[in-house]
Amino acid sequence: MNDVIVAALRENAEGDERIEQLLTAVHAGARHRQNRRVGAALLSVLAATTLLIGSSAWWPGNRGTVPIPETAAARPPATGGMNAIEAPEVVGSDPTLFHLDVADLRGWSSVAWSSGRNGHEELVAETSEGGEVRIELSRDPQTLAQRGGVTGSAMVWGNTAETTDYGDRHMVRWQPAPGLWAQVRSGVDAADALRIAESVRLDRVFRCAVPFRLVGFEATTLVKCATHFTVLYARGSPKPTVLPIALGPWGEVWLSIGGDPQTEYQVAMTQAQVAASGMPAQRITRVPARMTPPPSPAKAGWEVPAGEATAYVWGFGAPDEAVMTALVGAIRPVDDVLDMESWPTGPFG
Amino acid sequence: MTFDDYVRVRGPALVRLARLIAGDRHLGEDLVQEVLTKAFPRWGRIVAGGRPDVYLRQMLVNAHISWRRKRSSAELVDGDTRVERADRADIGAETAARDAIWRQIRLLPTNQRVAVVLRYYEDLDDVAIAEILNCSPVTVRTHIMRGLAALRAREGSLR
Repeated sequence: MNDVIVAALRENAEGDERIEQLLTAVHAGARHRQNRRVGAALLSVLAATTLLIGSSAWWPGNRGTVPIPETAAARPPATGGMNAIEAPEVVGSDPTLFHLDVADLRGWSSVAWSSGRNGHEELVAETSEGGEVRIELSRDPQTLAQRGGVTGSAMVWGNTAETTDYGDRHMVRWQPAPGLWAQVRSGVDAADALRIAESVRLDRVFRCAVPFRLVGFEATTLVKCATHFTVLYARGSPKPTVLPIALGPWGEVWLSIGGDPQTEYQVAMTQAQVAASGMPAQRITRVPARMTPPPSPAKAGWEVPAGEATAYVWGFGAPDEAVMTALVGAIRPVDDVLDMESWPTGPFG
Repeated sequence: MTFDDYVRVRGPALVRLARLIAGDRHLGEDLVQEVLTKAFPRWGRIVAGGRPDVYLRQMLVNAHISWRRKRSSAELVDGDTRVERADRADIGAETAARDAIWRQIRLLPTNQRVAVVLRYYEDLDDVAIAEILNCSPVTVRTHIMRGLAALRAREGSLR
């Protein structure tokens, strides 16, 4: 299929580029923008003057009194245990646990939690318009380092936050607890990034849920776990529900087996039904499976159809063929990948 | 390198990439014009950064996402090529397969489509794509794998 994709992309990219016409239009557009900027500067002076005269109610110090909205439903299963504020050292220490959440999922079409062993956890959301929001929690500020941009400051729940404007995206970073740093990156606008930062919740603990179990593999091999949800709103309902449409829910684990830190194995599963005519004849431990060309930079791949879902095993670095087939044989998918309630609250067992 | 020199040399590649990211020939060309219009006044700083190719691709992706926000998704999906090509009766099997996959690529969520385009058209690795999409290489892999899984599933449903 990869060849068809490449051919389709080439075919639809080609055409007359008319570069001289493009340059003429760009120069004309740039002149027009310059003229508009002068006008806008005059208007902003007028607007700022009006605001100073008419407003005295809003102050940054009031932010801490804003109530946290009721938590929405589309989330991994909650669990007990110390949260990130109580014990910052738990962040990024156990890949099966997430310590990062937000109070409001509105305006997002999908949200993904992931956690590793490197002191770092992440929540990535895609907005309904296709933009990305990335919230990170880390015990090492260097892992959050960004270059360039115009810096400023703001307040997030009483904590001084550093803001950075990159023009097309905006970043807010603050320290919610000693030894812990949180960062929000949003492509929408600076106000949106700050709003999201204020909705970050660190007082909960969730388990990584995936739609399969891996039998016979040790939990110590796990280096990363991720759970992806599609968020959908019923008409008229203020609360999101999980609706596994098309490629909605997705669970994945990353394993390190064999001692080579450069070699990792990924097992992922999602709703993607293999056509009956395409069912593989080969079986690994009674599981129908076939080798498949892996997406770069993976070096080896297996596809494992499972009803309305498909599992994938990818090997990165220098994957061992025996480990790959062992992983294929170890996959025990849930009966119904669309029923997220049936997902085990952990990938082993 | 002056702005005009750069556009003359690298502009055609940028236009071709924009057509794929936008999923529509005319929208892609408009997208490039908008991005270059914004880049022109800051060209000195962009060149001083040392990587104008990466910077302009980032601008292209961000501009496309902003466009999607402003326009309805139906407007973007139902572009011209889809209708024209679906009606051709004498279409060959290979052309039909390319056509079908292109229609499915256009239906992918933005980040998945952009990642697939950057991997399979621009031949970029995870790290380079991650820089353009402003995400981690792991997220890039996920976008590509999910995109391929969707294309594979939809390809099966078309049989």
